[in-house]
Amino acid sequence: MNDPLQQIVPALQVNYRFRELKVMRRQPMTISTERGRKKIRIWDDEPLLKRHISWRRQLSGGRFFVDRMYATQSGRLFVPVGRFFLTCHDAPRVPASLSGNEAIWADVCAALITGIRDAADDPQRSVLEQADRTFSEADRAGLLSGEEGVLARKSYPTVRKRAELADRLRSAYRKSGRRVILPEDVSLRKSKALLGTVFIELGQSRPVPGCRAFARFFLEWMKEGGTDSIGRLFSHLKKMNVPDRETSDLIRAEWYEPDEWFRFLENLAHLPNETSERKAVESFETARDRKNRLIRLFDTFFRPSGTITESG
Amino acid sequence: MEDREDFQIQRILFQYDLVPRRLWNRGSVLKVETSAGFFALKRKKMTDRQVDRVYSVYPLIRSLVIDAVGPLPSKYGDLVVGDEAYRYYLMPWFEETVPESDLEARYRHLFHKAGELHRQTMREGKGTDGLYRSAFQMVATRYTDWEQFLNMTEHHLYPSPFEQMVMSYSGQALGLFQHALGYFSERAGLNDDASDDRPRRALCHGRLSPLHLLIEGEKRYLTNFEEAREDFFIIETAALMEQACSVLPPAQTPWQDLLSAYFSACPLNEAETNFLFHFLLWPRTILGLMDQYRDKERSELWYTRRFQRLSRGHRRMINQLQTFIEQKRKEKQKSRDKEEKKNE
Repeated sequence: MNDPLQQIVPALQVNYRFRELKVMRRQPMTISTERGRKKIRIWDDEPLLKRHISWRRQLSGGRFFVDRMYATQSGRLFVPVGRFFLTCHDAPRVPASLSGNEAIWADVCAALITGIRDAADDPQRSVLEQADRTFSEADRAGLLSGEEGVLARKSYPTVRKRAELADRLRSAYRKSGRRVILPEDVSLRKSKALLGTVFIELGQSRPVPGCRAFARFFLEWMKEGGTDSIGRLFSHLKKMNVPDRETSDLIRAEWYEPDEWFRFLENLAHLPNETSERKAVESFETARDRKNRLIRLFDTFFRPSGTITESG
Repeated sequence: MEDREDFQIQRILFQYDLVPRRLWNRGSVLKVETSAGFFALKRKKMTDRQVDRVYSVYPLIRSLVIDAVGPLPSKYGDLVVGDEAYRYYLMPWFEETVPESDLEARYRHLFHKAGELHRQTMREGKGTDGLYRSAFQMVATRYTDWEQFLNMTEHHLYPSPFEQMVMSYSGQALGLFQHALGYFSERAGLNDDASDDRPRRALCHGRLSPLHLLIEGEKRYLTNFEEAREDFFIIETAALMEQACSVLPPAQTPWQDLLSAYFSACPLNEAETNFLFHFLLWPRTILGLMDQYRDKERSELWYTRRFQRLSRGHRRMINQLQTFIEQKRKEKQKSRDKEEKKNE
């Protein structure tokens, strides 16, 4: 079979007028050119590609960069090659820092939260049922007897309460049509620094509800930047009236979901020695406490819905 | 990450894959030196409507091969970049050979380029009836404004020097108004759409100005098309003449050169010629000055001097236009006679 690069490289050279082009990496494809390093994306789903083009256009013009598609010589934003489409993007390398850049990051979050709204597949699932099922299975397997098992068992009532809260928050917005969406592979934490601002990559995957990515990002921020820094981020966001009530409730739902407990139970069966047992307990307790601290902090900036609170 | 000012320019240029080596502030533009050459980066406040206009007009201009300089596309295909606060666009840099202060030379080039723009985008225009009607309404409204100013001054026990000037000029001015009104009212009653001789439409620049023209040696390019639209171009021609009349010194304005420059690039038909003459006949710029006088933001001396300058300039413009038109008609007649003789 022919090497696909034999088709791709000349197509890139002709359409983007690169005089020098060297393939640096194949997956994800990165090239070096006389105009710097570029990332090449290969698409097989044209409607998805067009959706991505439109999202990036919506987000352009702000104080930050988005990995927009380069225009070809003929002005198109992609190059058809056989049944595939190529797009060319900037590829900066320096990771963006969080602390000290709260204002820029608030712009990024606000633009993503207010800018891209659409219907997205959100499979209905009950976290409470998952918690009950996981608990019963672990109990039947005799995993809840040791020291770690007892900790998991003792946490169960709180886990149930949080799972119930997550379910209630989500069910309140189940019928909502246009919600925050983000491509599934987006990771804001992996954004890059470029010319005094942030460069975010929207990737190329299908859209999913975006609150999960935000919840994860804020947790990562809490871990790396600390409470003061994320407090500054929330303060900037609050001045911008972002996030709206629905989005903040759905972000809370992500945090209420006791995934650290699920992970802990899953690990119980595979803990070979005392060190790994201690590590598992530590990791569970740290994640749980961080989440609790973050929820409390978040609630001081963005008041939770009157009817849905942890106290019931 | 720091949001420094030089980063802002670098961020704009990054969207063109350009890295600035040196920057110079040149009035409203930034001259940028890069490894790919020199560029002009323009920063301005633009409405969404103006941005949309840029996207619709420049492709048209490029396809018509008009000597115009438009924004270069960014690597993402944008003609205008930036945010709501400021928009930027990048153009090739021109080392201008005619200084901005040499207005006479710049107007000569501008009249020619405006003629070329109108000629190259010209098409038959419908709705001339509406054109005459709105011209009539405009003249009628301004006629009333003039009368109101007179009524006001008549109630002053001691009219100011400026008011006295207006009063003594009014006989002549109102006569010109009536002449124009008679012409537009007559034409508004005729349905000209079937006639061959009627005003035509063309792409109008919208902001013709000697500073929106780049001149480098023999090359001349129009720029700043963000207000461009299709319209009866004769209105823009009239506006350009009025602008030159109020900017250039009245006694030395080379009207025959300016008119030749425009008419050689864009020959007008009889209807357009007559429209132009009658549209310029009433002293619009003086009315503008009378409007300003009500606010009295400047000294009496300034208003009287300005009045003298504008009235002298307007009189000379009309005389020169009339001479030019008559000369053109004579030339036309001569060539027609010659043609007839040849056919006999």
